Amino acid sequence: MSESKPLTTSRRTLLKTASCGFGYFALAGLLGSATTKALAEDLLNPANPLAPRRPNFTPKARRIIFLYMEGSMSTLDTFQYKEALQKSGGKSGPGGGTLTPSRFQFKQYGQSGAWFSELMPNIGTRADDLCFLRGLYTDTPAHPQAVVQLHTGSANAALTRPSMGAWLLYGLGTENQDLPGFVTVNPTIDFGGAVNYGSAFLPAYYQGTPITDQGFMPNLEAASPKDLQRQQLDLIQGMNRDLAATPGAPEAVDGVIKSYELGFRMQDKVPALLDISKEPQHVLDAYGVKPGPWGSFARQCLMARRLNEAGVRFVEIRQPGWDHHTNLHQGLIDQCRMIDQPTAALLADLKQRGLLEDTLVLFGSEFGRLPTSEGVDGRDHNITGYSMFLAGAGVKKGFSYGATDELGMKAVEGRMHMNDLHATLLSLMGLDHEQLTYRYAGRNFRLTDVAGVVQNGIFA
Amino acid sequence: MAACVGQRDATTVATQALFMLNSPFVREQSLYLADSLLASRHQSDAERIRRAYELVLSRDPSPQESKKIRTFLARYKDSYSKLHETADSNQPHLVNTSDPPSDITAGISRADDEGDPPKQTIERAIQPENPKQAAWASFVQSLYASAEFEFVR
Repeated sequence: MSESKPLTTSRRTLLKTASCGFGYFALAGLLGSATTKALAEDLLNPANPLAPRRPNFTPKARRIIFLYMEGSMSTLDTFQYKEALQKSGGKSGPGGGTLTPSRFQFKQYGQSGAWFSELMPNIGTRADDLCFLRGLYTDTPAHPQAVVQLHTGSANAALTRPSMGAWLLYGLGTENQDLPGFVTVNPTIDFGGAVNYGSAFLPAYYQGTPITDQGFMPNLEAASPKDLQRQQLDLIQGMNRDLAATPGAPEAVDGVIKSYELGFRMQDKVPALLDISKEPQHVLDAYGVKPGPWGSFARQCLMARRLNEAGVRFVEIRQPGWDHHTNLHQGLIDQCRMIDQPTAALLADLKQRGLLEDTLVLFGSEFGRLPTSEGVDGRDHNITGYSMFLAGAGVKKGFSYGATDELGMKAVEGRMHMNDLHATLLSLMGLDHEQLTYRYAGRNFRLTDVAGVVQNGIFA
Repeated sequence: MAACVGQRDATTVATQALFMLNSPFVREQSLYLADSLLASRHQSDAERIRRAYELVLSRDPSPQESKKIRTFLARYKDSYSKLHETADSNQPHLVNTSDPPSDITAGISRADDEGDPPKQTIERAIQPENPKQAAWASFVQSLYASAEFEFVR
């Protein structure tokens, strides 16, 4: 229960009486129309939690798209070629088990000569745009903890942390006031579920907005014609403003008023934005868009581009199904058939539209898989060394950072813990991971907790 | 072992706002209460408005609030009628105007029968049948959607 404090000066009172308030109202008046006035209010009002905010230093990237491969893709069979492993079949591995080379053929692509297996012929063509992180490691070899750590920086289930998209919104605000700043498409319901796009102890307006891989968001369809709904909304907002004006009213009422207006605008903007059927046929073909589960990731990639283009700060899309303890061979063939073409198409499309100039793309899983075999046709989890790749704003192109040992077992060079990855991503977005804090439960919290080193060796 | 945590900010996000505006559940509940308010035929509009405030917000409306609501109801009813006249003249054969308004109440009460009601029943039940009912349901929904109803103070 909160106690009311009628004598405390509220932000509202301060704004009305302080000298800056006067100028602010004058500007709003000069700008004229109600819409411009509301917009000016949003941009000038420091209390608007979603207003665009100045980063700690000049950002190299303004938006992120995360292509999340849930379940942990075997990088040793896709984009992490290990010559020694290919020659060590049948020998025993450093941690026990039998070393098992990839059964897929690898070749080099582009000027950079990056290796890709035959499972990724399309992503291979983008090799010279990619920045590989080859020395990653994490803490927990179980999906529920590792997935949550990848998304929130901590696997500690006793205290849920805000997700990285929420931290970015908290630090940077949102560029498009008609859309949520953090959208997660096809999010997982396992492995922590909503925790992976939640705001935890950050205010709720920083949480991610989930959308299905069909582009569906619940309750987005207006229940009544626009004119009638506007009348109703005016009544609701009138009630809310009356409440906000009463002494001791919770400051949160301001947030409610903003959320209703955003919701109202989203009814118009979001369905059109997510309707990928309006894209030209050659674009649909390039991404490989089709109905059903085989086209899920292609649809998500196209939605991601549209959301990114509209200014959404953080977009995550997800392809599940990479946990190949069994059925590694056929499983990888099927999975890569779903993601190879659309991923390459997204990278090419972003580049062609100039979006890659200020967008950072991250591709990868919660951990990697072992160079040894599990059963007859599988690989078990590996948290000691694996790869992801980045592309776009602020990072070197056709570049490879760090390495695992010759068998792909353990990160030995350019080692990068999950906290280091987060520190580096925040840095690219113009945020100092040690300064981006939120006070909760008696201490300041960070996405990187008390660790994290920015790996500026990858910066362009 | 005791955990010490800070006070959590009370916030509403856009998806929650959309739920309050568009979800079948909230619309259905609004229609229930609107029907119940309209069912007592001897009350004046001012008395119905007061009853709604008592039930939803546990307080009386101020005279200004009551007046605002009456203005809202009149304007909403008017706009609703106009929109539906247009719809009727466009598609005269699709709208059965001879349906008595009581049908809608029957539609809702079927939802109380044992077992899940068919989806069609729900969708029918949350479409108001006449301008007056639409206006009252919209007003009740506004009370449910208000910050005053949503927050514990």
